[in-house]
Amino acid sequence: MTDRNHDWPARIRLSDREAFREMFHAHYGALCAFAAQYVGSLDKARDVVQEVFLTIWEHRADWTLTGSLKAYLYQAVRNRALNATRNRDTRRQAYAAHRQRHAQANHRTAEDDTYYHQLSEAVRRAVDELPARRRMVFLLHRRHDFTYREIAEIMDIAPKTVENQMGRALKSLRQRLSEDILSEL
Amino acid sequence: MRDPIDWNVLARYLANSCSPDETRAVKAWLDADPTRHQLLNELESIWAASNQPASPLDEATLDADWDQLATAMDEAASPVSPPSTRRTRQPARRRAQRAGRPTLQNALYVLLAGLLLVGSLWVGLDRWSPDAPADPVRMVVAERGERANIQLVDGTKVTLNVDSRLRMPTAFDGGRREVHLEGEAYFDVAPDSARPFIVHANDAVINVHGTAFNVRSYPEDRRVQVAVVEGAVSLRAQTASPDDAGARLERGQVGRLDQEAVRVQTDSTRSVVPLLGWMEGRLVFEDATLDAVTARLERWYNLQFEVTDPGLDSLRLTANLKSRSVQNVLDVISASLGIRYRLQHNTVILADDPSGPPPQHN
Repeated sequence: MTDRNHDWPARIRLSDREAFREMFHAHYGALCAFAAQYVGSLDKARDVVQEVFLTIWEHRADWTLTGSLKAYLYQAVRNRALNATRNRDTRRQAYAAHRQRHAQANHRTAEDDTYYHQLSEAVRRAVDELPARRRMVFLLHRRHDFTYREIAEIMDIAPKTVENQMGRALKSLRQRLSEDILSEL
Repeated sequence: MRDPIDWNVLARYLANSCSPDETRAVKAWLDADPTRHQLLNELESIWAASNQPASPLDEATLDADWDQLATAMDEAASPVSPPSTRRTRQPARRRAQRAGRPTLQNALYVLLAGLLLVGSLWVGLDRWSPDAPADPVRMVVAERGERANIQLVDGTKVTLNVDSRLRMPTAFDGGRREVHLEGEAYFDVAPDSARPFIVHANDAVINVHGTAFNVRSYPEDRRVQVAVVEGAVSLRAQTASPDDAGARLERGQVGRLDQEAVRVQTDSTRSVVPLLGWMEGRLVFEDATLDAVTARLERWYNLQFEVTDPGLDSLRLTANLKSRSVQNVLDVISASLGIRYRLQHNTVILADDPSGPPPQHN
């Protein structure tokens, strides 16, 4: 949310490599997590996001932004990730593999018995189980701090759809979670 | 069957983006049935727990991936030359020092005031975070080009200048009223002798004895400047011992705490009035370097400056401008410094004027 206090795009247009490095460090990790939701693995996601950054650098001289830098980056990563997984079956398989890994990761941390970790792990699992589009909308809002309007832009959907997906995500998370962890409060 | 719960509105309520009417409607809906409060508690826990770190990568992976990307960038730049074993990085530009600022992206919801419009902004930070229930924190943010008027819970009034942040607890329930400032703000502190009011700004601690004063602590200033309008304050370094009462500043005095030399300087000769010019929309410069001028204008108008000619760094500006349009202010400044400017979208490019400095009139 604080990108507008940086002058990265203007500096990058003038081949300022330090600005590019700063922009990379500020956004790369979160963009990889975002891309992994599409391509199914963090390793593939890292390739996708690096390609996006490389393309920006190669076309830096005429790089223009109409909206926020952050929304632009997520949109670019989404497009590239969708191209990388155009084959639906690959996509489904990849996502299943991703879920599998997540489940293992959850198992490892299940021993952490603080309430906060239990809850946040339970929420993470429940979010993972949401239908793809609903999960993306919810994560863009809660994990990546985008507004509804920005999410509509990034996902190329109507703002009303964002609103509905957020409402449904909230409802299913509550239904999913009220049974187990919240009852132990 | 129709769902009796409007989940869309509840989601927006949790996201702090309901209109006042909707907020009232949600509250009325909650109050109509006690079990609904229980539901909201559950939802708030889920909501808070869903705000997890966005990045799954550790620092080492991040650095390794940057190196990989940097190699690809080099290869793209010079396809004919053999890959070098050692990459050279261009030196960080002057501007880069300014770019690093604390990141506040987590759980920050900002309601923006309009351009140069005064509004009050409240942000729930950690409001639902279950691991930090004891000390909930509020953050008020004025972005570039924006200012904010705030009234704190104790009645203290604060005006935040552009690109500034004020952090405070949601209630002053200890024996002290403590706030943290980044940037610049004017404080009109509500008297309360039982609970001292304390401002932390960078590495300065300002103890207030019932008063009105201005604090300026933008990162590039490399110092904290306090101008007292009414009453008195005391100013000390964060690192000073708690027993150190600090330097007492009376009405009309200006105190400075320099970052390098941790010491307080007081100045009774300098008028505090120009330091408050921003409150009435005046841009006041006193023998300011071009770097300081552009930094101020960047904040004020949310612009980016490019200075193409290093020879311009030695220029100094003294001016008191009623800020109107960007063009208007740039016209006046460039005329008095004898430079040219070009405005492209949000970027201002400054260059030396080959026709030389403005003619001197005697």
